Amino acid sequence: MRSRVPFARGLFLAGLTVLGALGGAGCDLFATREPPPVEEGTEGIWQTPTTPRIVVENLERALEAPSFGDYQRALTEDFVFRPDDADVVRIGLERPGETPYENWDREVERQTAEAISQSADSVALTLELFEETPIAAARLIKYRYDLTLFSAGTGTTFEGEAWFQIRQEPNGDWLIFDWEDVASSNTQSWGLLKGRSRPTSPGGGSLGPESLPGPAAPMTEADR
Amino acid sequence: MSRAVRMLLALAAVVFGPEAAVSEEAGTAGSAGAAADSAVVARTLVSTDGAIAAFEEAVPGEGIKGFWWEYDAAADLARLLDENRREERLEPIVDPFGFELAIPDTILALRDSVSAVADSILAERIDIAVSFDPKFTSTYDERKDQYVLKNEFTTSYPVVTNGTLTVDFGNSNEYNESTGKVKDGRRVSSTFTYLFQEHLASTFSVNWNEDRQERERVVDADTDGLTVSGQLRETRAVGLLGDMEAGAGLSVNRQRYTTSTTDGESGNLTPDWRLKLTRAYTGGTATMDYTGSGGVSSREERRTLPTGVAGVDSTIVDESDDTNINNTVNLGGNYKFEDGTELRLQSSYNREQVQYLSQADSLRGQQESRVRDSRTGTLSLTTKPVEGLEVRANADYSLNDNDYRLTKTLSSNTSAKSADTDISYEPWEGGRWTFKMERSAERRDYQTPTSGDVSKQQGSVDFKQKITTNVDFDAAYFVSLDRFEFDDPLANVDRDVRTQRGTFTVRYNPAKAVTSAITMQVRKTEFVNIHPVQAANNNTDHGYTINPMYTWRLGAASLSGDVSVDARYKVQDFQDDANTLVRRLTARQKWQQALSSRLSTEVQYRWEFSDQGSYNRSELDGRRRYGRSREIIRSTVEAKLRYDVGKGFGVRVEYRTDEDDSYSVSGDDRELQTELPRRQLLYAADYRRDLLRHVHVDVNFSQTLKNGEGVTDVERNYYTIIASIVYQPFQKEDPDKDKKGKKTEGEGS
Repeated sequence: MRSRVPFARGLFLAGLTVLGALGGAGCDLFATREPPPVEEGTEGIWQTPTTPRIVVENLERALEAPSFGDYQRALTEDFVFRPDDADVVRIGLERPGETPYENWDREVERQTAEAISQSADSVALTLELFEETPIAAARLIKYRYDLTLFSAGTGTTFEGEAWFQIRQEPNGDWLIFDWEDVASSNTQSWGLLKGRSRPTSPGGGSLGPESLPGPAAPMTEADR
Repeated sequence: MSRAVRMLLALAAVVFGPEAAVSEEAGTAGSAGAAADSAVVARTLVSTDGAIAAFEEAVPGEGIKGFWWEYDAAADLARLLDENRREERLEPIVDPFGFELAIPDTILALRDSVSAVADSILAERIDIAVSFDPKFTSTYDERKDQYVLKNEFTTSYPVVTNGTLTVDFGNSNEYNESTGKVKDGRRVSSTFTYLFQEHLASTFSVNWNEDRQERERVVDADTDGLTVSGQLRETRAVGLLGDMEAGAGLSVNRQRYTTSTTDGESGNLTPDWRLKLTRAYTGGTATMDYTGSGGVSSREERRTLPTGVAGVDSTIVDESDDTNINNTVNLGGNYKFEDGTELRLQSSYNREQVQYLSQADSLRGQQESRVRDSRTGTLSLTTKPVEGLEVRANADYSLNDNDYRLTKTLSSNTSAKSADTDISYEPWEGGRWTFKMERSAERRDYQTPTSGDVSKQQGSVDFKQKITTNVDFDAAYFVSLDRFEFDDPLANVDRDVRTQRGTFTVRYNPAKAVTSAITMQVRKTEFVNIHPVQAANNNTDHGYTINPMYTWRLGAASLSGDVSVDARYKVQDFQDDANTLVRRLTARQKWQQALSSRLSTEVQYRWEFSDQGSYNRSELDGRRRYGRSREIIRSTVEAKLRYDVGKGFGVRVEYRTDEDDSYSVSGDDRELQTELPRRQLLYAADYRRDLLRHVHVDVNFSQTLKNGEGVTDVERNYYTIIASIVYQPFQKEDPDKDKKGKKTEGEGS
């Protein structure tokens, strides 16, 4: 026969949990590393995104710097990237059996941006704003882009349109939660470059036997 | 007997189990509302779509945004596997006044998982029809500048005893006014299914499809393909091994494709085979599933390449003969102990070889070969060792190796492992501790300088305590650390991101109709770049929030509101003259009124004041001083009216006005910089009904009118129309049709 743990033992166990959590928080498990001294003359590139246009400027500077921590900071946790349908067909021919555009989240976006940056000696990005409109509780901002990768003195250019949906997070920052790439018929797009550059992409089929998901763990105040 | 020994015996029971009794609970995992736990709380159902249900909270604050959510995975799976119901538009989840609620992301994620399970079941299912049942469906979807029209005809006919012919025609047309893109698609498929014996079935299919994309009359992509395939499948019981399903098939495919630079043709011949064993035993089920395929294909392709001379291109013709092989093994099992402890184990192995003509300009004409090796493993445990203590734990492992023979830069080897645990403990009446811990580590080996290690640690502790019948509080602490360590520190920037958050909430519910709460939160996020140049970007974000709120139910009305005071300052660790401070005050009030059983209204007002500026140290006394430079004032008023006319028809009207003013501030001077007033009017109608017994009409229509600063032509006046008409002349009446989606009382745990 099970019975409720006595109050004193319960209090002891509860306290142990707190100490364990705090101890974990205070020990090396959650400790950051010590940065080196800053090189003379360098400045930070990140500006607090108090308006939608500032976060796009942050993204642009982060890609060119490059600074991929800041690049990822410009995106929300539920960020998605949507390629042009024509690029999906082309990538299907270039990488058969793979689905590079599937499950494209913030982490994949950052990894791919790093891979693109590493494939060239330098990157130059030009964004030209041509439309900004409020949508529900967010903003849709459309840019024409010109992305050039320079290697061994030559440059390869990718052109098209980037449509960003940007919303204000509870902490006040405006961040990008949706990025749609619009290609043009006679040039290669940034979305096509992303599809080619994604380091590891999911396979064509699912792995694992079919089974219904178990019940989700209850949300707590810490999760909100 | 120790817990560890019992678990080992459960795993051994896969082979040496005493009997093949089917566990009735094996298929219902995931149905949050169907668990027969001892603690059952009665909650009042507010709204349901048949699987997702929203209930009134039994205890204020226990749910999400004022409602308790449940998801019935088994019911949703049943709907998705029913061909007459899987495409139907679900009823929206609404609040007690009929206004639509946003479904939480955690519930939507569960629905996505069930959809994936349904898709995999449908792909394998063989149906034998007993009558002729044609179905015509036409749908029209218009959203702002995107227009989609689809038509479909599908039918099954029992041509012979135990034999069914299924035919499916479909076409779709899409047009986007802003991009000028046009997409057209057509498909025809025909499948003959024959049951030789009860356990031996065969299918023969012919499928044709064509898809074309154009942009301002220039072809972006054009593909068409023909596939002929056949399959034989047998199921039988095989003694101790359980139930067996074995199959073999052959498919032949021919495809033609055209893009802006390439056109070509490919053909392939692919035999495939499958063996699946399912062993049920007391307390669980074990499954082994092996699929394999091995085929040959050929491709001929013409590519247009620029020569460097204006207006002059060259055409290259390439051919290849390829061999593709795929083998996959999935193992899975679950076991439920007598005390309710559940254990799940899944693992898979996949090896795939794909060969194709390389599309890289420098490798044209050469055959690329990609070999992928993947392994995954997952272990899940749920247990309640003593009353009041609940433990969930998961561990995952994956290994992926991708090897490209020509494009070496895409080759990679990645491994990832993760573990997480949730412990909930109720030490005394009204108290509850929840402790969560998660760790993950990924090793990435690429052929580029981005190789390295990525790790994440996350932990939280949450404590709820009921003080009196009207008062309770909740205290929580959360910490996470993301770490990036690259093999090449010169080409990359190692970095750490640490987030800490402490939240304290007190709820006071003086009466059943009145709830109130105040929440205080302190946040700190540190961005640490381990690089002499990038370290200049290092900064720490501090945030403080106080947020009181209330809800007051007055019969057929509801009043709610909250005020939020938020201050954030960002300190640049190595640039003290670039710190910033943002302060914000927000007030929201909402009034909802049910004017009658069919008519209800909602009015909401939101006002926000924020200012921002520098937060640097003064040279005089070294203390940080706030230098205001910008001020923003926003306000929104939103009014909604909805009327349920009856017989499947409802209408609503919504009006919204926004003001967004921005000022530059210098000392005592304040100058208006931008003013963005906007107005929006929306009227909508929703109609769904069965006409003439066999015709089902479903229309959701709205028109939105906007004016103000920054409103584009597309946004100024647009329609949102989702309409479908289904004609099924020989459809049989569904005896449970009137009961779908209706419940009077709900249960939750």
